[in-house]
Amino acid sequence: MARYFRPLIVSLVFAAAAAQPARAQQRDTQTYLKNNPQLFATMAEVVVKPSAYTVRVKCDNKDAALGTVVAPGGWILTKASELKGDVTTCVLKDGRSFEAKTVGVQDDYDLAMLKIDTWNLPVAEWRTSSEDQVGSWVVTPGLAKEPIGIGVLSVAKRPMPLGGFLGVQMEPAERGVLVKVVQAGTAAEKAGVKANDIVVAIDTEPITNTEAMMDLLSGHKPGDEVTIQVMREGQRMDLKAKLGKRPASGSGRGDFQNAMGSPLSSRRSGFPVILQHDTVLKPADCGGPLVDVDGKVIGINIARAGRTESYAIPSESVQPLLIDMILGKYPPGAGEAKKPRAPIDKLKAAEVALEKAKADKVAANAAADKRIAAAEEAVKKAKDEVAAEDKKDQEKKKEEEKKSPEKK
Amino acid sequence: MTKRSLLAASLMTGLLLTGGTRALAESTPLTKVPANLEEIKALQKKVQEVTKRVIPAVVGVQVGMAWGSGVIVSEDGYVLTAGHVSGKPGQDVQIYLADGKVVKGKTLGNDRTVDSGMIKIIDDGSYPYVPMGDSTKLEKGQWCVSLGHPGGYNRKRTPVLRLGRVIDNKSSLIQTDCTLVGGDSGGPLFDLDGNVIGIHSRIGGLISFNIHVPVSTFSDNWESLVYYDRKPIKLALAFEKVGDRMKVLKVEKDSPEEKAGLMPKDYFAKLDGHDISTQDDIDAILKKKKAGDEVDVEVIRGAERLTLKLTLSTAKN
Repeated sequence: MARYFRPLIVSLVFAAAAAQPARAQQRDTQTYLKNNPQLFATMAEVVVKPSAYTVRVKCDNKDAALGTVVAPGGWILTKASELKGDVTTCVLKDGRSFEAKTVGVQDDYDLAMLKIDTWNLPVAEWRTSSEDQVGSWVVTPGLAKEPIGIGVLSVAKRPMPLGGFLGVQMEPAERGVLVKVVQAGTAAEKAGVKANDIVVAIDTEPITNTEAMMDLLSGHKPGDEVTIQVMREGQRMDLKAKLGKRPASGSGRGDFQNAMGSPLSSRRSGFPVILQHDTVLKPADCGGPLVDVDGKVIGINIARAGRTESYAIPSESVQPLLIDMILGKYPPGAGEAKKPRAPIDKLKAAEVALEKAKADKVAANAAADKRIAAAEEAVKKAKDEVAAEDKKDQEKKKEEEKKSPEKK
Repeated sequence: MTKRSLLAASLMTGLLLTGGTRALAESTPLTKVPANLEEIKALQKKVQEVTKRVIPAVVGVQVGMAWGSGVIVSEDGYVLTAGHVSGKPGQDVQIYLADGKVVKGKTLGNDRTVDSGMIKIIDDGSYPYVPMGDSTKLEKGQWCVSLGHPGGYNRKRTPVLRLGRVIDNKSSLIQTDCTLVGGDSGGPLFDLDGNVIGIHSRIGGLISFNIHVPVSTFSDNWESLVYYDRKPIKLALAFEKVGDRMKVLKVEKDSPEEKAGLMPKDYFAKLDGHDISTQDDIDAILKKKKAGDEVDVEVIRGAERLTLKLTLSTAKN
């Protein structure tokens, strides 16, 4: 299904202009932001207990993720794909630091279980997320008195499978789905689907409307092979399609927009179930607990997924995994934690970085031009002043000479 | 549906909706940042309630291969969206309702200078809708919620909620820190009473740079957006501003204005019941009229005040 979105108009010029707000304006903006100092101060009482069972996970001494103490005996849950490097350490709220061993990795949810050598740590207090309504506050504790992030639940708990991408623009037809456009380079094009085909079934499922087709495709994975049954000029045809990957959040332009304003986690899609919220989080601040206004853990932050969204795994999906992860039923594969990123992910990340570098250059040039103009102005002014001084001195001298010509 | 009856309907709905929460609104100023847990929970309750109430009116919009968002503001299906989403008037579009239903729509007029656009659902039906607020009254720091379909409409995902505050409010744009991204274009920004106050338009580099079209640009220009193909109403008169009044200099021959009895040297006192001081005053009234509408024109002629009946017409040239 075609999934390009009509973009919010975004131009690099716009980005450059926004890069250098005046000091006073910046101060003003701080006051009016949702995430302003007053709100963080008010939320401090919510995270008193949670910050005690939150840990900072470092890899090779760099902040990698946050973690949650989930069981007595030093068991810490965190985000697996951020554990890159040789030495993993956990820093506690009281300042103590421990080397950590990765004893389990659950790939579907991107969760890792760490073990540190200490006892008597406060343990997470959970609550099922199912009672949560869209609009509930969600708070991300750190190790400090005030939380790291504050937001609201944006969408109720939902599955987020990867889905299979066919690459057609659909329109309702009398019996089936009309293919309006076949996108170039997609599974549909390769399968031989053509514009004006009417899709009547996929595999053995009859397709009567666009919703049914979308539902069916979203239940598949990239790489799945399906048979698309179409009617073309009265003839029934069976076309074999190998479904592709759904563009991460639309086209490349969508990825660029999503990365504007806040960096994204590298693993940020394809989780079985998620809670979506609008907290702005750094990728290195994912992996720890997400609590409600009563300070109970409703989920584990698992990704900064886009400009408008961060994801958490609901507590009721996490809890059943804990014992098995502790007991070693999810052994981290040799080099599992250091799995090389898929080329397509590397490409996407590189493209986003390139666009950002270009935008940064435009902004930097604009700023430099401004400074040069200001400096030239200052030089001109100073030159004028010097000239004026000289003139004054000349005139003064002339006056004095006039008064006492003998003194020459 | 005329703007007047629409506003009347909005006002009534607004009253019905805010009746129950008025006490809360009085004790918690719109811009206040919660200072204790009780205020935190009160704000949470308000956000949850308003979201539940308005979500049914939030729609996904498909124009060709492109996706945006919109919001239904009348029972018969007028949809506010962004000018760059609806694009050219007269196009066929698909509207995806929050309950999963898909209906057909046609694009109406747009104003690309502010990025406003409108769509009319053409499938018969009684649609969930929300009232339009007064965006000129927004205060900096005021809490607001954003809904829309970031990334494009997704059947498996209800419209996505973001909470934020108004950072800046100008006549042509509102800035909030409700984060937006492609697909949100045309979606609604609400105040905590559930009135639409803005329509999502564009973003900039900073995470707090989210720009919305003020809803007042829709309500002030309703007729020209809906009846985009009508020629503008003009008066076949030449004016001169004299002090605080508009003085008629010339009346076009054989025009309805001549037939109505207008004469050179008449001073305009009222048009359609409104006091007239400037050309802008006249334009504001004509904007809402269509050819054939009859209006009362009160003029001062010498020592007399006369009320003339004028049938309005479009520009000749």
